[in-house]
Amino acid sequence: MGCGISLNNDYSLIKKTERAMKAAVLIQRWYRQYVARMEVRRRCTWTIFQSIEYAGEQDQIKLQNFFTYLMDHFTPTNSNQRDLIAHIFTEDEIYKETELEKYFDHESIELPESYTGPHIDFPLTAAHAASLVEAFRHKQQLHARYVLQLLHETLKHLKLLPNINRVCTCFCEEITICGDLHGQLDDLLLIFYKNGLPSVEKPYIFNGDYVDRGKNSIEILLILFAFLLVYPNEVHMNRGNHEDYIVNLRYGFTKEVMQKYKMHGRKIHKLLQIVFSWMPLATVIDQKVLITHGGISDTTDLDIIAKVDRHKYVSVLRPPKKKKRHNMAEALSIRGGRTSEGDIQTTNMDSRPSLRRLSLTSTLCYSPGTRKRSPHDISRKVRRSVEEELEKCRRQVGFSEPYEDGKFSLSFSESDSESFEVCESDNAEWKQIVDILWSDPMHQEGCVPNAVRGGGCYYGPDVTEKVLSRHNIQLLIRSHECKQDGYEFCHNRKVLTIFSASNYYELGSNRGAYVKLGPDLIPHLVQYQVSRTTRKLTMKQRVSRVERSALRALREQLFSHKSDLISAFEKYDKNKTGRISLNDWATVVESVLHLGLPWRVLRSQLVQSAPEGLLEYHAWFDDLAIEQPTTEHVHQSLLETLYRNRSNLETIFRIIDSDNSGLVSFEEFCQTWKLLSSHLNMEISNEAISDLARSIDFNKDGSIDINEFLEAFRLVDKIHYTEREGSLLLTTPGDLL
Amino acid sequence: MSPQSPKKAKKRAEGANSNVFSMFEQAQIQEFKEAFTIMDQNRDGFIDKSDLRDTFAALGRVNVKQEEIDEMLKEAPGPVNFTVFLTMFGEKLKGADPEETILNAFKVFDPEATGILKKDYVTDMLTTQADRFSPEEMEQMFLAFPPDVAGNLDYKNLVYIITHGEDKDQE
Repeated sequence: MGCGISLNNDYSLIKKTERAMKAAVLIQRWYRQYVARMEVRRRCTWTIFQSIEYAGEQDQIKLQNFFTYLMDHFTPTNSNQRDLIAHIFTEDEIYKETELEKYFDHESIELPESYTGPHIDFPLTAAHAASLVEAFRHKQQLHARYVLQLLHETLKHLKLLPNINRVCTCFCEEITICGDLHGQLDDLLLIFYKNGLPSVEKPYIFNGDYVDRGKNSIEILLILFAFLLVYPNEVHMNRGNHEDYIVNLRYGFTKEVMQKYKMHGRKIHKLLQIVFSWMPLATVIDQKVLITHGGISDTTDLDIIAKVDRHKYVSVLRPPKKKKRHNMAEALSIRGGRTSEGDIQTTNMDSRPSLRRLSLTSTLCYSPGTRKRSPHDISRKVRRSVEEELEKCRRQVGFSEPYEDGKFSLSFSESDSESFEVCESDNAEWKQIVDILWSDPMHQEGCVPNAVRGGGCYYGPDVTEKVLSRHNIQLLIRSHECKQDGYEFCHNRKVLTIFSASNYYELGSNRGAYVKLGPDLIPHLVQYQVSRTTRKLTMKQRVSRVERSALRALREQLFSHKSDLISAFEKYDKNKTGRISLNDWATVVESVLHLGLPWRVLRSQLVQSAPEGLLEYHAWFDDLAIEQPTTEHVHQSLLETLYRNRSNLETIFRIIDSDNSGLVSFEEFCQTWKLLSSHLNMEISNEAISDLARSIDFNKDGSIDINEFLEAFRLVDKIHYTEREGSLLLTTPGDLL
Repeated sequence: MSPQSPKKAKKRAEGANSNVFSMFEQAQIQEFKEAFTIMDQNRDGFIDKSDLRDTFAALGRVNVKQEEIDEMLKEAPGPVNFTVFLTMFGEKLKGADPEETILNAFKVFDPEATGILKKDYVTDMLTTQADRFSPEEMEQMFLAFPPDVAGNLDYKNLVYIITHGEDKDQE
């Protein structure tokens, strides 16, 4: 009896245990799937940001072409504008030291009584540098007088430095190496907080990309330059691809300088151009660790790099400056940039992560604009034909009578994309520099030209192995690419990417990191993330937030391509039902946007409803945004152009707005639009432009407030509007690196 | 729900054929391909084993046990490309556990149906048996779904949120 009962008990116990286990399995599996889904969403979001970032680079290409066009056709209406544009777009000959002092004379700038910002004095002391850090932490601004002085001293120092800094760990415990900061002052402050300010005991190496995108690019530069001057043996700065005025035009640094410094902005900007060109290109620690911004290529040769005249490369995107000829300032050498190999090979594009991107250089090839004949033109032509025999890849540009009749115009020689006779060594040298600043590592072996960035390569583990061993180097530390965890090893841990701008795409998108190297040269990594809220976000919340931001950016992309999308939809909708299948929708969207995104996976986030698997595509666009821009009578294509070129337009307006009043005149406004539209081969009637202008609130004598103008076209989406930053518009991913 | 035996799983993998694409509609295959591509970060056409589970999750509705994945992967000749992926898991790419099922699973541990479970008990239940949670996983879950001050976990809420996901997103 007892046995029977206990047997029963045993049996039910066994059953119970089994049930419990099965239940546990179910729960565990189900929960893990949930976590995995989060991970997928996160990766998907990352892909979105990176795709749009790449698409944004195409915008840069367009912007450059537009600036070129602008230079050709824009008639400055006053001397201020002319000077400004001349400033920005011309690469004058190499200044002599005395000329520099005179030109960038800071003494003449008075400090107003009302100035409450930091004061510095030269020679700079650690206290000065620290005071700058504190002042900027409290959102103060350094006066232009001091800025110019600091930049000038920095330039003097930089000129003494070699192309490749040689550093040794013997005098200190550890060297700290930081990656991209991109104007994110909070990250630099956090690094200093965690790691300490630079000092004799605390050496630092900064690996480029200090500016653009973030709001405090100039402050970061000033802090770093200050420490550079105070601790010249312990602080080292490499040049990044963003230390380049052409890139700055597009990605926000120019804008920041103009806005903060107004009438002094021009000089500061100009001096910065020169400062950037004098920044060293790489740093080597103990002859064993190479630190450079982008990376390498299969032809990288440090001995060649060590010998170049680096300051010839004011913008690395352009061929090296030539010395002044014939008393004519050599302006705007727009180039048809090619690497020494000539054509950009786009081998095996499908396996490249960046296949979506267009070649930067191939579109930098200037499309011939109208040519203005002048006597100089002819003599230049003769000269050119001679040079073309000797050299490759160079475009001659010169001023026609400068400043005559209060106007200037530039004549461009025709695109020399056909003939390439640049001097071999010039081009090879240039390629060396572009490669180290623009290249990215890839998983596959080999070395293929980086068809997007237009210069530099994608280098594989075999290239790393070859180049590093050729120079007896054991580790390459580089930056240039945003990484989820702030850092990433690859190529058998021979390459370390270090990225120091946390929350780069969006709050919560990624961490930042810095690396410390002691005499053992073993990297110790420190990660961090700037966070305005102390509340710890759950994974789900983090993922959701970043995802929302990415989706918002994506919606904007969709919206700004509405016309193209609709006409493509209509091709699939032969019967004009106004509907297409979801599968076709995905195909169309990819074919128009070229973002290479998983549209089917994203569909549920982008398409609200599709009864019977069919989408009403006209209505769908309405769903993308609730608050349509206020100008509904404005031509659709005009609107889209505006959307796609928003940040470009803003940059242009700020340049035109030479007195930094925030206002442009009606005429200037229309003129810019006309230029933009003819450049883009768009038909825009005067009436359409007037309509556009009229729809914006005019204040003060028919001038247009730039900010109001941009605000008027803000796209607000109903479901996912957040109050994250008031300037949703001005920091959209379209402005991304 | 009886766990699939590893032997059975092995058999399935062996019996794989290249006709797997015919199992699905074109649109479905494209969707799977997209999910696969998300995980194939370097776009070399292969994903590694740790990415596999996440790949399923992209499709949102997969009923595959970790053990089975592991078993199958032991069979795989090397890195997983798209065809292999479809082959190995083709049949499994459907269905998800409905809310009811998961709730019932929790109720096994809450026979009086109070709707809550003690945090310690949950920890014990999930980390000591079956496909054990690691301590980190357990911590993550409590971070995402914190128990109240008395240490009670509202599992009904947890299940609802995970099942209904996006609708309940709160910042």
